[in-house]
Amino acid sequence: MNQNQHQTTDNKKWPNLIAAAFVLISVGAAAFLGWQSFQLTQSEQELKLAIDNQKASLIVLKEREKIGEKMKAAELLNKAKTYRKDWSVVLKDINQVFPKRGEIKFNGVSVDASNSVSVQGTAADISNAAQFLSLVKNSDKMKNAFISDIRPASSGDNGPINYNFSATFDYDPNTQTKALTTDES
Amino acid sequence: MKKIWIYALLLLIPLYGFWIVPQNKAVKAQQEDIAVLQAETEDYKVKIKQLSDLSKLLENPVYDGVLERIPTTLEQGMVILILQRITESTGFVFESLSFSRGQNATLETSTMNVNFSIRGREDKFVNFLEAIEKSPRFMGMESFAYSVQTVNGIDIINMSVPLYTFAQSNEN
Repeated sequence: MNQNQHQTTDNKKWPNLIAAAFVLISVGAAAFLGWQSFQLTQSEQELKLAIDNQKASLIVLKEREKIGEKMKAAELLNKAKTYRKDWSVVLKDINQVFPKRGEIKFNGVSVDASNSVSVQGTAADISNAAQFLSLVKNSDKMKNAFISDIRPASSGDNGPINYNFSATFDYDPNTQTKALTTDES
Repeated sequence: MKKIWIYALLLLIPLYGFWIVPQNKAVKAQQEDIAVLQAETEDYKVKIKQLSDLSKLLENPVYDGVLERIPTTLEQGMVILILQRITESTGFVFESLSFSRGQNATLETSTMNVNFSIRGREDKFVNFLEAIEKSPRFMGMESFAYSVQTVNGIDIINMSVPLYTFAQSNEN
């Protein structure tokens, strides 16, 4: 009888124990969640602070070095150098091909972006005007010379002494120029 | 004794309803936020590293003066001063200046176009063109045309100069 009573008492303890364990686990879980939330909030704040500092560092770095602007300027400069035509070189080449300005003198020169050159010149003699064509033909940087008109510029006792002419030729900067004189032609 | 545990179990209902379940959701949300923030901070670390490397790269002399050659804005005042210096140093006189803003389709950048007339000795004209090409501000001409007049035995050039210069924006 006593043994049965003892067993019944033991059986009655189990639900209490389970309930106690459940309560303790729940309280523990609640406490853990609270602690975890606190830790995570702190981590979150630290990360936000770190990001703010990184953003500030980035701005300082960009401002101090003007990195973006410099990179863009350098890139543009490279393209611009290819884009630009160095007219001083063109003019030097023209002067090199027509060095004797006493015999052929240019009164007007115009060069367009496609390297087509138009000149208005004065030649001492009509043969000098013809020599203009030979000079262009013998030049490595110029070709396709064409005189559209020749007319007397002034007259002397024995007829015209100067001739004005208009001509065009193509300039090709990618080849070497031969130094030519009117005598060589 | 039995009742205490029943009360304790009953008290757990609000504990779960008002603390454990919402707190669990909040913790999960915080963990996701932290993951996003960690990714963000890693991104920034990479960007800072890249910029630091670029900064070292920009110590290359190639980048010296690039912002003077192609500035971020038009810097019109500087262009006027440079042109005045170039014309004076090469013996030319400039008579009028006009400016316009534009866009270069090939280079996809802003331009400032300058038109001005110059007058000077023909034999100094190459020097003038070289000075334009070597200018601290990048400048060029799309084309050129000049006429020559002989005055007192000296060949004098009259020319309208169609100049362009680049900038990274159209602002002045």
